[in-house]
Amino acid sequence: MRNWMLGLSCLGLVACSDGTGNVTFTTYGEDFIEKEIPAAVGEEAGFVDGWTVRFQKFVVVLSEVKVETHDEVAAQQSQARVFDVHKPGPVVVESFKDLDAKEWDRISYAIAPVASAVTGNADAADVERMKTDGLSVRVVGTATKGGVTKQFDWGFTTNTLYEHCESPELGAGVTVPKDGEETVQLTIHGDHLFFDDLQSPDAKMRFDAMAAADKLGIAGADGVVTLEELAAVDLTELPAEQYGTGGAGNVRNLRDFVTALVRTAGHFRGEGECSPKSR
Amino acid sequence: MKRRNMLRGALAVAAASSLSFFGCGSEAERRAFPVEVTATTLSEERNERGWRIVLDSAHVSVGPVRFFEGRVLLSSRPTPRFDWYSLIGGTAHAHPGHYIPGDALGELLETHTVDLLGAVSVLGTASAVTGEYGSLELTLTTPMETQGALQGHAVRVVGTATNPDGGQVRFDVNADLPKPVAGVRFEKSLGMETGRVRLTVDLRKWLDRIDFATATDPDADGVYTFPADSQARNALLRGVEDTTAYVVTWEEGAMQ
Repeated sequence: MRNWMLGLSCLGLVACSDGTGNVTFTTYGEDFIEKEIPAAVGEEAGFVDGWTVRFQKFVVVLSEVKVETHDEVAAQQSQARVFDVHKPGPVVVESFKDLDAKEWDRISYAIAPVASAVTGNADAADVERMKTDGLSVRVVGTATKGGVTKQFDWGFTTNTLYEHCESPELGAGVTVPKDGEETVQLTIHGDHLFFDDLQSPDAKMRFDAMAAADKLGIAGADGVVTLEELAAVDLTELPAEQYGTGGAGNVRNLRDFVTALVRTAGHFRGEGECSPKSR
Repeated sequence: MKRRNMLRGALAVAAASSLSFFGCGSEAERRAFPVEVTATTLSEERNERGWRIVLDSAHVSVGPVRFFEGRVLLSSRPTPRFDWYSLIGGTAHAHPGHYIPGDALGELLETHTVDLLGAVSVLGTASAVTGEYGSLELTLTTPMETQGALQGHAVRVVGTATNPDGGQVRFDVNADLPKPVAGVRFEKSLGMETGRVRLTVDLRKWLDRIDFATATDPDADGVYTFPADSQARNALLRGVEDTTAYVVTWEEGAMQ
């Protein structure tokens, strides 16, 4: 009886790990980052207050890509890399070879400052800037409405681990095909930085309040919206129906708000979700 | 709706004396614990807008309270620990609406009016299960009756604010939230130990950002309310819905 059970157990192990395959992770900023976030028209996504935003850079440090189950790690990224997802993508983040061909239901990755990061596709100067300033995300762009233009160059030091990534179509994790290759996209959602609510699924993209923040310094409004200027805008001075925190604590000004939203930029296979854990 | 169903399901299953609905061999046992409410005393320190505030009364309608497994991502732990979260963690998702409470672990369905300047108030006993608690959802229910301390509102605060020049604003203000305060931090690995949950309202968080100069239109007695579009009302509502205005602790031992 004991031998019979042992045999079944071995059979199970063989069945679970029959053959190997490869998994390649890519990252992609989609049209919103590569091209433009437009003003909203009808039901189409866009800025409801008439602005358009074009990014010149959207630099992220991707690290700790991991494929695993609850009790077994198949592969883990050892080298953090810096990507500018404004450049045409998708681009390869990491390839893992000869993984057991089976379902690995846990995928996680981090967007975090890493001093030892190397370039993925980002320019050398951008890589250096990220490391020198301890940044995980840096966005450079231009917002336009009518004849008004506002530039921004915002760097964030947030450290976020995205766990339990799940695609609505393909489920959690990844299934490694026997003798084949599966591609998994770590999608970056640039539109999230401009949402006007931290919790509501009905959040809208706005830029009016950010544009109006451009008023500090000797020159006053100089066409550049800085994070310091966003920090000077207390949320209680904005319309009560906008920039709701949904109860999220200690989010008191526009800088806090955008910083909180940056943590929500990391996604999975397009519209798939992960659980962002702040570290 | 889905969350409510989940809660009913979890608690229904918990009706058994021992169960394993978490999978992987983890077991949860049915238990109960008291829930009590108190408030921190408002110091004489001026608020962020320079006003010193003295309260005559502060009341809130509290309940139901629901406990969940999901941790909070967007706000920091009071003291950093290994594996600490800071805004909406655990089971949160990367979209607006990203705080996902996860498995329901307990609930207290009663609603009570609490005098926040009085002694500790006992809300009742939560029906719950053992497990890894991460957060709770706090409903500040707008009462049906328009009389009494709350005069038909979920929150009512009465007092006097004094600015640095000595100017005073006597105020009588209220607040009602359109939805529960979700994602209040409560991280506790709860077994069968004796104790109770204490919810402490930080009144300073409620009032800290209010510029009382934006309160206009006093009544015949010179008492101000907060106009609907004023900074004062905006700040009060944001203060009341701020999850960090509620500090939840586990108090060891039986109630006195």
